[in-house]
Amino acid sequence: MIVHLTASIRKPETDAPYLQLITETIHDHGAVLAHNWLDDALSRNKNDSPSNWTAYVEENLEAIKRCDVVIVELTYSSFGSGFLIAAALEHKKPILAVSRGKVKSHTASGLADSLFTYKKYTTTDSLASIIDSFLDKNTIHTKDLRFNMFLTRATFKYLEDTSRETGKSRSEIIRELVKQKADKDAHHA
Amino acid sequence: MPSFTTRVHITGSTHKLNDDLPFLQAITKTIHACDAVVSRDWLSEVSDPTSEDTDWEAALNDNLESIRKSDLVIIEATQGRFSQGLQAYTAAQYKRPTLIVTRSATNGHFISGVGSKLIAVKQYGTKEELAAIVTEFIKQNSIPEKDLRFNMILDRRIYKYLRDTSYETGKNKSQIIRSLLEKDLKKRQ
Repeated sequence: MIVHLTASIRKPETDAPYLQLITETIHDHGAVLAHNWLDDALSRNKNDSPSNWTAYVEENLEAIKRCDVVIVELTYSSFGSGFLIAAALEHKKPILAVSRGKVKSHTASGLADSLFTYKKYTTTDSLASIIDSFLDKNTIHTKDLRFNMFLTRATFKYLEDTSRETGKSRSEIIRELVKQKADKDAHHA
Repeated sequence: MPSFTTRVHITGSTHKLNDDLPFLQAITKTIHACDAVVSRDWLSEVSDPTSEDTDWEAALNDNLESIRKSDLVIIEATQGRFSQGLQAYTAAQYKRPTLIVTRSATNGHFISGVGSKLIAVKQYGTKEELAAIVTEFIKQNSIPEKDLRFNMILDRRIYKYLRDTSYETGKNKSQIIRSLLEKDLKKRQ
């Protein structure tokens, strides 16, 4: 699983333990960071920012496209966080935003998208637990997944008939239909 | 009476509204001076922006709807907040020409990396500079409401297709091209 982590760092000495904990929790899950910018950001001088911000923004947008989920540390309201969350929503990535500040008084609390979760944490323990639960919920195993569903009589009959005609199994027929629809939607997006 | 009306969505931060208000009002005044209209007059609605009672979901949805309805977007981003980043990305996603203006230094900040074909980032110091930037942006991006003359080169194959279709349907070549464009536009929307 690929995770893109984004955050605005105002006070590295305060923020570092929390951001490092998020990274460790991601690694403990066997997941990897899409773009490891954190070590550089925490070690560099406060006034020494990336020399090419266009490239930096592009790298972040690319990382969002490649990743499976996005985690945003939102204690400080920042232009960059808003920009990247909008990008993640466009690319339909599940997003977890975490903050040590008041959740209800932040614009992000108004994002009603089902892909977006916004949680407050107070301690490193509560942060680890929130990250754990988000990663557990959004992990898609690489092996094939078993899926059960109910079919109406008419749908079942259609599948039986099509299976007989084509020699394909019912599951194959459904998988092909879903794949075609996904390809079509991706094409139109 | 002007022959066109350009709708402009303005956004800014309510975080330090007293600091930004004179400049947001200057943007509004300039928009009106350019014979354009403000898509959502949120400035007169803001009472206590820090209140936990603020309905952030409604506020955000109103902003996103206003972006959809607008021709252009202007973002006052001196405070560099989450909401401005979110709206900047969303505006570009909807292909709205977007002007980001700020009194803060852009160098060394995320905002300096977001410029693109659709997003222009400009720094200003005074209301006069701001008015000049906004006027130029609106003039460059306004599309007159009346029909526009458009010339294009057609290759032999397309020309033949249009001529034949025109003969078959009784529609002129321009009508055929316009209906194709309108169909494509509907599909994208």
